[in-house]
Amino acid sequence: MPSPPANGEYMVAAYVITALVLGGAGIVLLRQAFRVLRGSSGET
Amino acid sequence: MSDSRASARRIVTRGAVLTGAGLAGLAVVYVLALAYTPTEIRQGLAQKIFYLHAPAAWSALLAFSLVGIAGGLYLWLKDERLDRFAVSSAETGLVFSLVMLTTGPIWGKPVWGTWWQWDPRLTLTLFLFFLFVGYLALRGALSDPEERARFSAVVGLLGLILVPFIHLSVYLFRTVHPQPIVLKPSAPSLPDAMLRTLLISFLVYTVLYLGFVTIRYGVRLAREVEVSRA
Repeated sequence: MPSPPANGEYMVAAYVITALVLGGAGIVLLRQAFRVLRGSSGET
Repeated sequence: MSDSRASARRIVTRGAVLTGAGLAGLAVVYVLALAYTPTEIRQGLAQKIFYLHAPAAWSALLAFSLVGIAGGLYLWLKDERLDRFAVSSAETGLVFSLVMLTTGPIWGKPVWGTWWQWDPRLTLTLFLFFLFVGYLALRGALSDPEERARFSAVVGLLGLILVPFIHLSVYLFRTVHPQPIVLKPSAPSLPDAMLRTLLISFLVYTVLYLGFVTIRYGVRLAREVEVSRA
């Protein structure tokens, strides 16, 4: 039975980029949300 | 006015809860995709990019479709809430597009042997991305709120027209991009573990979309309240 190609580095790159983009956007937005809850408009 | 401020706070609270749930869900998707799903024999580990790429495409196209629908409704009803939602959805759509347009080529390189092909699906998707970059640039260039909402609603509608072409492009044109695996007339063609992980990922990305849009809507509302008080 053939073994799958060794290309895990592409998977790692895609998973890291996705975590950075979605995680980063999520953190930025949560910070904006907390600023609104503290009483300012949330945007600097 | 204090009602609007309280309303903005309620909205961002909901958005924060959804975003927090979505980010936790994303961690679950990572665990499922990396530890639970089998490795595909022909594509190897690169196939696992699928669990992040396809839901990103779904969320981006959902976001841009809703920009167009909200824009069309704005032109009819002139309700500023629709414009506020439309721009929030456009911003969110660009975030998901960024994931789609980076993970796609990273998957394409080991599978197709090239990072990019100027085929209809990929080219139209890139065009849609730039259309909504233009949408936000247009909004930034117009100071009159009514004019800004009206002009950008028209651009949003143009984007909405592109969405079905992008989805159907794999049927309409010769393309290297695979045909839909889940969103198609027949039953999904995937092994159970892969399908389950993919559907959970679709759900998580949808929750993230809702969270991001809700926060941006609430922040924009809070900003408008503050400006009107000044």
